[in-house]
Amino acid sequence: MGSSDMSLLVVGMNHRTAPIEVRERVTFSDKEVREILSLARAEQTLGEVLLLSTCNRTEFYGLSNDNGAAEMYIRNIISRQKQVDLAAHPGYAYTLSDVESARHLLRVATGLDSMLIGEPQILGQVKQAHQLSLEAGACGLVLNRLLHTAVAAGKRVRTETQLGSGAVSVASAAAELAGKIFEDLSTRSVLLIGAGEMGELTARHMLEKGAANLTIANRTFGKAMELATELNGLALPLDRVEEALACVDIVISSTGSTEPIISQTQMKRIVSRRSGRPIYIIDIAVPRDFDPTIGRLDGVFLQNLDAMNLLVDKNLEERRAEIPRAEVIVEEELEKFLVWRRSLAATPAIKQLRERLEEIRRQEVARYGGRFCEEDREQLDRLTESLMKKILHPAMDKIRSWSGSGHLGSLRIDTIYELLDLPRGDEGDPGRPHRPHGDGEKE
Amino acid sequence: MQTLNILLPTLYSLAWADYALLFFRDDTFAEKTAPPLLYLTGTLHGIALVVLAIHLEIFPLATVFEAFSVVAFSVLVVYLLIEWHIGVRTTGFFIVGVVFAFQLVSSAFITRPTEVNPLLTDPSFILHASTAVLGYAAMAISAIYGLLYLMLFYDIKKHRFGLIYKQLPSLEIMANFTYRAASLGFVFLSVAIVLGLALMVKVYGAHWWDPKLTITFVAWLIYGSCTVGRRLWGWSPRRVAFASLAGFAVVLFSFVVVNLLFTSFHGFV
Repeated sequence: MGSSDMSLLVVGMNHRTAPIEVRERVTFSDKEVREILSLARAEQTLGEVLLLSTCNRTEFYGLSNDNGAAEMYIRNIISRQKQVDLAAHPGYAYTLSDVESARHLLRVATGLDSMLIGEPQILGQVKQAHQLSLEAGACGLVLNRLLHTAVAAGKRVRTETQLGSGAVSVASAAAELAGKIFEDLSTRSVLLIGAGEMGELTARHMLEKGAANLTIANRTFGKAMELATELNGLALPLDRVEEALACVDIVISSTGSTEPIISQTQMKRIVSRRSGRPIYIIDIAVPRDFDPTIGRLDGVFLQNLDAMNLLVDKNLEERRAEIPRAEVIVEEELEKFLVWRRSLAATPAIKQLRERLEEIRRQEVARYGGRFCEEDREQLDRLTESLMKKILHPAMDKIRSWSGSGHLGSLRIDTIYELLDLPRGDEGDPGRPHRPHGDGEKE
Repeated sequence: MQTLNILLPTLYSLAWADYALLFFRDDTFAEKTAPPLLYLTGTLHGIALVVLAIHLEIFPLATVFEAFSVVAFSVLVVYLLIEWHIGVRTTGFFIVGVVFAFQLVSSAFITRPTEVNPLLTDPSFILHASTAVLGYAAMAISAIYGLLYLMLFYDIKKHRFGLIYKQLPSLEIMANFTYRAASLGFVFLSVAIVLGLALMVKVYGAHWWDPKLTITFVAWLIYGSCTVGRRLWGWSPRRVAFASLAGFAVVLFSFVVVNLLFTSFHGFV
């Protein structure tokens, strides 16, 4: 039998169904994925199979004749391989069938189902899972098409909506804001005051955005040196910060100081030395490192942790507002997939019909070919072939359209079998489970 | 002529609506249609001005309303160059709005004077009028970007991350356009003033006090200080933006109010 008769299913767990202690255990390395795919292929419970494993999600997509058995099979794999008792906690994993499972994959690939909505990494992870399944020979006609559809939907959502736009972490929001003040960060210098984790992360985002010349000032000079070596920057003693502030464009401050390290008077002095050049200060320290009144000075853009959180919230809100547009794209792509899938039912009939007519054509050409000279025989061959194509082409389109029209369509296709006495055998998909009276299919 | 007076403002209003959709809604249809529509309108506008000049055999600057149309066209050309240069279309809503306003006023009130001042065919007058109009167009651009700069400046300062924050390009870009356009306006206006003074002496003799001249001179001083202030006195972009807006307010005052309230030898524009 072929994939056209099997139904799709997904069994998986994600951030909504399983706690982190479970999720972190149920992740599969690429090596494990390959092993499981080979095993599943050998055991033949699933016609086709794909395993998507990320830090927040583990999902098995499969094609089977019996979804109940397939679900049990997958749950057993998870329980056995990762020592998670899914029998005792069935709610950790979910199962979706047919259209729902296809829709689910499309929503996953577009980032609609992600913990951080619209995050871009998932699309790459879906592509990687597809690749592993292809390499293991576990990705057949249907899953292959489904994965292509999912990737196409993911790309469309990325280009046609703002679902993935706007920074959604404090560090990236700080870098985004830098891009609203300065046009080109590659000519801008950054000063990091305090070598804490949050400050370092923010500095890394600035560098990723193209900022040049990172200088790190820290109370413990050794730590500044260490980080400067790692980030290819310069280290500076903390008492020379005022000097640096007169030159740099972007300042990230996150010291553990209990008092402001820069007062308004100091900053006024610094600003007067900057000849109107703006300075962007992200003060993510609590308590704050820069006197808040500094923000009133012309040319000083002072932002604190609350402002960054506000920006993150705003961006998340905007991403959420894009959900309906992304859902429309998912439905459009899903519909294309479903139309294609329905047309699969007609593939065996079309194939049989084409083969039968080709057989007749060959026989007739062979029978009468002797009456022609060699050159004319070639012409005869070409003529009959072209005749066949012209007759068959519209007929095949019609048959494909019937296959999507339910019971009546099936009856019409049956009539073709009857009429031309076509065989209803299974051409067979090597390595797939078989069923009497199944239909083979080829792409 | 009548058809053009309806067609041009209509096309500009459609383009403006398209740019509004783009600014407020990120509309994909507007993203595709707004620039071609604006290019089309601009081309038509340019052709109309050339045809008018050839047909009348004079430069179309006989009245303030003809000058408005030329200013609208000049602003549009500069804007299209900017849009092409920075690849950002969201400022179009503001610029096209101003272009539309200028063209609407022009189309609504335009009339051909029965008697044409022979001065309008004088080559040095044509140069004077062209540089003045280009100067005004540059000032309009500078003022609009100055306004946008200030809007984004205060939004960032006050941690308001709304539509303005989302849609406008960086402060640096807008500060640069404000400054460059102001400098360009200053240069054009300097040429226009020198030529104008020479013409005045030639045609009317000495005529040292005139409301229009005084006000234009004030605008010239303001734009001059934008240029020098940023370069030599360490003016911040915010101060340049405020100065540019003040300068443009003076220019508008000179254009509209002085023409209505005062009698000036400078009758046409």
